[in-house]
Amino acid sequence: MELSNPLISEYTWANKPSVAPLGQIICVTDVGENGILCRGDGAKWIRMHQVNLYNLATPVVLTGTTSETTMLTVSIPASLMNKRGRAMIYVLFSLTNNANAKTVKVKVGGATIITFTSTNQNLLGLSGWLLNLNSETSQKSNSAASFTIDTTIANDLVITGQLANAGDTVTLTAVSLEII
Amino acid sequence: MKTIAATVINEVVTPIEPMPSDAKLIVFNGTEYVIYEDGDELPSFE
Repeated sequence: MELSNPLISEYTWANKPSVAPLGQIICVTDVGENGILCRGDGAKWIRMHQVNLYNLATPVVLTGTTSETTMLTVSIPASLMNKRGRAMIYVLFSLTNNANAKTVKVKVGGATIITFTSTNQNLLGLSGWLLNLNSETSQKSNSAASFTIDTTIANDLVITGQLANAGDTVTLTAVSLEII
Repeated sequence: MKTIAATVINEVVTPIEPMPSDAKLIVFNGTEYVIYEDGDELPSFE
């Protein structure tokens, strides 16, 4: 039996049609684990459901420097969040367990949405969110900070680490980024 | 094993090219990003 639905065409996020007829549904194949469905609103393609955009598969270790250092970069496609979308980030680190400070940050579009300094911990779990406030250029985070990140363009989510003592290590062991 | 050089952008050490998503381990050692792949002996850290 043929399972393919010939009424739902497949595109990539970059090559989806510029015209988004009201009610038309398309499948975008290169976002998430196995694609997403989007529905036209007459002007734009609107994501119909949440998507797990990224899961870390490779541990990333930081050592040997006291400079702030990029540990991970993930691109959030232009307009994927929509006006009322929310980026949810979950991060797990393992750290040298001593009194030296280890600072980790999560940034979107260059704006720091999460920052935390850890001491005397061998594990650190962080989570946070960035919510579009019925606008693709106005947000609040879970720390009540306000942002003006333009989510109509692609933005990098960047995780950085910084050691007070270059002999210590911070290891990024798990990351999940969901767009809701 | 391969390496990716680093540069400084806005006071943050940053790789000069995207890091692979299918490596076994990535280590920034203070100078460069070292990419460990299948078959490479992995270092141990605390």
